Amino acid sequence: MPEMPTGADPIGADPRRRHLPVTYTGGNNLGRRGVPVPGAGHVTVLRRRQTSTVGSESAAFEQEALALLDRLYAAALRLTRNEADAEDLVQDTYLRAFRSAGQFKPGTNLRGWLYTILHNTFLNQVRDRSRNPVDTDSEVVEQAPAAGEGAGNPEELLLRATMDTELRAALDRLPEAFREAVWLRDVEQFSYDEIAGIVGAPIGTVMSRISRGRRALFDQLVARSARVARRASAFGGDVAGKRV
Amino acid sequence: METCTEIDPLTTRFVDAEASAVDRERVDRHLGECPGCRGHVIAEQQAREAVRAHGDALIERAPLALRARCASASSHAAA
Repeated sequence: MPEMPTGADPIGADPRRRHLPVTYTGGNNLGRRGVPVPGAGHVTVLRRRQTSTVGSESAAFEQEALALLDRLYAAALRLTRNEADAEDLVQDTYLRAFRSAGQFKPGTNLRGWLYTILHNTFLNQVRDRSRNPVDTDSEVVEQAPAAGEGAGNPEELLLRATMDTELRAALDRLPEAFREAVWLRDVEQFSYDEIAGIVGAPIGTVMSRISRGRRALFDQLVARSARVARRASAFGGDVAGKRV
Repeated sequence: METCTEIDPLTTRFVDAEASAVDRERVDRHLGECPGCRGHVIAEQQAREAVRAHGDALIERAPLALRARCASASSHAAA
């Protein structure tokens, strides 16, 4: 279970309150696990600006944000499926996050906020490069696999025994919107509301993407298991059907 | 019996054990009678379990150079 930024307000009353381009438009219960900052009113905040605590507060904010670097990079890799693009995406995300630090409401979910920026930055990059359209929902509903049709449980052990790299590769074969939804839900364990906020889609759409994505992932893993089992049996029955 | 179209939107919450008691009952009853939806739900459960069993092991380490670039992004942002 990944940590949520709970407990003491991680960045204090952030003094840099300005209107900046990145807005968090997500579900309103995002901050429900956060701790509200009593009395962090505007006046107090503005006055603090003059003091020397500003530097250490923003340093704390940056440190908190940078602690999520690996998670954001892994998510960026799922989105871009390419190391160079993932690095650029993460760097742009941090740049935008630090520029917009004043928009972050202390005590709310920093991880969700950063993922929102990551998602939006990715969309912008895709748009800039005018690649494939991003909305894959309709496309995928068509090809939504007849997943698990007659699937018994013999695959169960194989699924559990799948290696990290294989699981990532199977995820990377899913359509983008599904891949992102499954990652946010099952790796990052965001709530449906939080995911809806991050990707800017209605909660029903989010749940549908998670459901379709999981089914498609199952198909990928079962297909891979079958390949492995076939290959194993080609080398003699001994290894066939056992853990791989 | 409820149709698959009525039940399908409930499977995500059902699999995540976040469905209401009423909806859980509706899904359970439907799955008892519909092998197709039962297959879908098994697939969702299996995939969910497979990913969650790996959990943070799926998170790649960011390259050190990227860490440095992102850390210096803060001074650029301040500038």
